Amino acid sequence: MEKTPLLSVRNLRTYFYTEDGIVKAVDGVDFDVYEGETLGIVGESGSGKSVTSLSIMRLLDPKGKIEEGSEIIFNGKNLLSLSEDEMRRIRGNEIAMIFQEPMVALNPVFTIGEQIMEAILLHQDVDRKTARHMAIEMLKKVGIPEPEKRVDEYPHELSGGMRQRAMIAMALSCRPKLLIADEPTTALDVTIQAQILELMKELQKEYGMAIILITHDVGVIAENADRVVVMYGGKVMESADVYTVFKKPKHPYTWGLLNAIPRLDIEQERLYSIPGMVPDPLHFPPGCRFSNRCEFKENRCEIEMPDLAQVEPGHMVRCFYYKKVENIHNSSKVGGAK
Amino acid sequence: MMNTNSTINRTFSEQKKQEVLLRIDNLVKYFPIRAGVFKRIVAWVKAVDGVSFEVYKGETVGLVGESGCGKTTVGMTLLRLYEPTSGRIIVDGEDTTHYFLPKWKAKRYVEKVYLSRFKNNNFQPVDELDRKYFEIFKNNGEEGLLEYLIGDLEEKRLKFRRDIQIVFQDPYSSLNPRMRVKNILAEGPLAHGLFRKSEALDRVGRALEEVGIHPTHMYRFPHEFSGGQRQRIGIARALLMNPKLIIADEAVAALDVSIRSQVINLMMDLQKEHNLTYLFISHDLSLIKYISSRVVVMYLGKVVETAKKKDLFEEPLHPYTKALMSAIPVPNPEYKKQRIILQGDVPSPVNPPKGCYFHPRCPVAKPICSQERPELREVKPEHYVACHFPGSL
Repeated sequence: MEKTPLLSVRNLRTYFYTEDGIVKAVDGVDFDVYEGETLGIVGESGSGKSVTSLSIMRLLDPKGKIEEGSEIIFNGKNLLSLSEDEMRRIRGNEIAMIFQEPMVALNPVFTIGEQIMEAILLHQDVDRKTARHMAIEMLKKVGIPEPEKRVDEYPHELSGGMRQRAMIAMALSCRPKLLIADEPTTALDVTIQAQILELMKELQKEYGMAIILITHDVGVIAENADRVVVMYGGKVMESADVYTVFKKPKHPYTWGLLNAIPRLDIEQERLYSIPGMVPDPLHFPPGCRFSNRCEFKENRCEIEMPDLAQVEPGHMVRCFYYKKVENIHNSSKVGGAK
Repeated sequence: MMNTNSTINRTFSEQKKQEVLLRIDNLVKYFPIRAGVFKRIVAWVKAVDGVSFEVYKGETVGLVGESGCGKTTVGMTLLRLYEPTSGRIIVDGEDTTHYFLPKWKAKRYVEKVYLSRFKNNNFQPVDELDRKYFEIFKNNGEEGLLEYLIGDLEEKRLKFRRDIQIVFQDPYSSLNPRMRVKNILAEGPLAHGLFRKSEALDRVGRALEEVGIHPTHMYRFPHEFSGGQRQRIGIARALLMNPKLIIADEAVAALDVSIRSQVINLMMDLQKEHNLTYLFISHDLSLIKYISSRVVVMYLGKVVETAKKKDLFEEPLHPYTKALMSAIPVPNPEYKKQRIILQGDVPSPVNPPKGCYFHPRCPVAKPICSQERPELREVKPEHYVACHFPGSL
């Protein structure tokens, strides 16, 4: 871990100024992404995981503002100090993004080919004929059958899985160093999801790009990420390599989340339930944001927000009492697989 | 729903095995595709194409499949929100298929399905229902059976509507935003005369309490609740009708992980308490494994495999079931599993492939699979598979 990260996010705070008040959607997020690795960001709705990715791309809604003091360092450059023009040269070129719903992300009135060519023509010095040829090559690479024919089809003519493949072709057409995949398979059936995730892995190997995989599905994270960031209420609650997070989670939220899901690999008597509701970002509890749902909390948690502290090399936890979760690991079998 | 004799609880587990609450017999639902100036029917979407399964009293059957496999259509058709194209829906030992038809059509149905066969001298009953209705036919004649089956159709419809309730996927569109929760919950039972208006507040309050919502919140509107709370309200609405069967169609799919387990646990607790029967429709095999006692796997409008939960998950015999299981991401980075990645997409139910519907994607398909459609057959005790080569993957 001594190499310099490809992307460093430091103290990222993205606030939305709405009529009802300031929504602190992302409130102090730190993480690094290294070359060629997959960083998984997992969280429930309202955890700030998508706003984090949109902040990196600087594609926020006008109401959203990245606060002073936030840093997003990509390849040595602070993206937040770039002009819009400079940012445009990075977006879609060095950093690309794929979204959950390809039908929304693709333009319905242009063919797949035109949309892929647009990215190529914008960022590379080639003529239309070459660009079209490259688009067909890309479609072949992402496993779309009959690419010469499909290149002239419109998004509605493709199935959901094929559309997501086309999106990936578009995102990868300029060989980005970093691909941000925001819930790339959530809208797809599991058998198609398996195809797409497999494809992403293969292409990652071939291109050597880094991936930020954002999802609510901890299973997808376990099978695809190298390192994991767990977000809750706009903050990173825990981050570590994938084995540590799943085998020895130390934050009560991570622990609860992992025990709340039905699983194929083990027999479960009864699912754990995290009490209460996902908090409304306008009304986070004072102190630790998880304190109102946490079964391990003490008075201090309701007053003071713990820092994200390193508890073991490479394992960061935002909790005063993470040792309590450790004790559970030692005393019972819940928490991980047998 | 209430066990009239609580002392028989000891033998209940045996009883449960035998008592069939719902039987779906060769259910078919085709939707027409119309085109042209005259809106002629040009093709049929074969959404449900010959589905049969049973639900026993007190159990949870998980109906699982990917989008487009027809699992939701099965639920909708059995609720008669769609009229079935053919097949029978038998609830608590009575054929209910004709309940929501106009009387003349209902009569035609009874004549076609029962009377025409009963009048034949060589008639042999094929199931329990045949025996029961034939007995009535023998004793009371044609008129007697018709009276039994289509007399008081309105009363039968009301009973059916009470007995089967549904909890929908989307808690945002399944509650009327203009009604207070108390009215949403009391509307059904009052219309059916299950309780008097003077009792309504008390009963609604108790139902809310049971699903974990403070009774004083009954004066609120749906938008004042979170997704998980709304789903609880939907469950309370179903419970208040004292149903025999609750269909849960992707009831927790829209909820966040931490809320989902609360609602799942609630539904399981309520089942124990009220001896409820669930038909749980979901695309999520992990959830189905957790909640069901038996599982029905559908693909392209057909049942490909059905078995007890344990048998199905320990030894899936249909290649599709096996591939589906291997595609589920497991939240354990050390878990080693056989990875089977299916090629291609689910074919269109308008023009399903010849032979076995799964053969174009099946990794172990043989020539016969593209020619002959395998029937659902009992390969092991209570383990049914529609495959020429079960267990070959």
